[in-house]
Amino acid sequence: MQRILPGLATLIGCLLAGEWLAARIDIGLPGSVIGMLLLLLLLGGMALAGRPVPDSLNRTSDALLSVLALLFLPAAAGVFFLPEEIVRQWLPIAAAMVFGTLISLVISAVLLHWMLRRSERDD
Amino acid sequence: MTDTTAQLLALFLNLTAFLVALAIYRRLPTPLLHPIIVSCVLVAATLYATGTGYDTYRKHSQLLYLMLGPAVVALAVPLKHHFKLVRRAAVPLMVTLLVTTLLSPLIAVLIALALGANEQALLALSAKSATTPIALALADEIGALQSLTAGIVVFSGVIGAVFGPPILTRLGITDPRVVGFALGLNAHAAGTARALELSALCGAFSGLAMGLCGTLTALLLPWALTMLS
Repeated sequence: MQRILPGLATLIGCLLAGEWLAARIDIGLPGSVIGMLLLLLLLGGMALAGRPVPDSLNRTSDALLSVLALLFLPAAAGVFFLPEEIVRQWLPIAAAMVFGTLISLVISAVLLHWMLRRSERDD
Repeated sequence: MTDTTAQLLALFLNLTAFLVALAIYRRLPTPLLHPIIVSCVLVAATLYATGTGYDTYRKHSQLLYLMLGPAVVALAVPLKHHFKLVRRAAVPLMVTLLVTTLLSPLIAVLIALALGANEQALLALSAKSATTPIALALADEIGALQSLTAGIVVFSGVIGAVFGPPILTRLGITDPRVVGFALGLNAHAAGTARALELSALCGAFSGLAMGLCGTLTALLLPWALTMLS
């Protein structure tokens, strides 16, 4: 546990800096996403100075990301407690969610697959 | 019951539901029994059985919510490790991002419109390709119902995360960069959790796509709706 603490402090520090920036510049981005970009900049800067990603940060990030599904379980469980508005319109909404998501997912995967294969053949 | 006890109970419920779901998935690894689905069913069943309201449960699950922010920041680490691969594929990634960000809400809205959805449903659906924290901020801005928007985003994410990878495998698409990017674009956080299960590389591309797609949606959607009305 002690070995992941420096990494955890770094993550929370970046998150707080991201929240601070999000409250001041209005670009419609949540603080956590700005925090992720800040940490990426920080790690990029360290790489330029020849320093690898600190071991503690690797451990903390692995630990957190391996339980990501647990972290948003409280939000996801809300699917079973939907407001009345969604229940009354369940058919169009359900069809749009299921088919809309899967059609869009297939389109983006086929498009990227095709473009990557083309560009990597040209290399 | 004191507030501390209630929070501990909620944490205990979340942990045991998740652990049971993981154990079931290890024995029967089919998409329909994915831990995201099973843990949600277990939590919902417990809440119904004990007569606990969802809002009470959600309020007392603060600890997990609190860690969601640092987890989003932590996505920078796999991204840094795979940055060279991302840069090399920059153009195809950006084109796919742009096409999907524009098409995804359009497809969902058109399907709902064809089946007779009202304006509230259409507005909430239009924010569906942004990850939950971004979608909630967006809902406020475009005048959609927050609860409806959150439900749609989470449910779409779970559908994409659970059924996306098997469908792509059947289409012969197994490149972890492609699967990850498509999952992040269309299934946000749930998709990224699933992508991280597949591989670190897949997760890095999914996290990148989730951040970019949410950002672009946040920038474009209010503008597009103003143009339409």
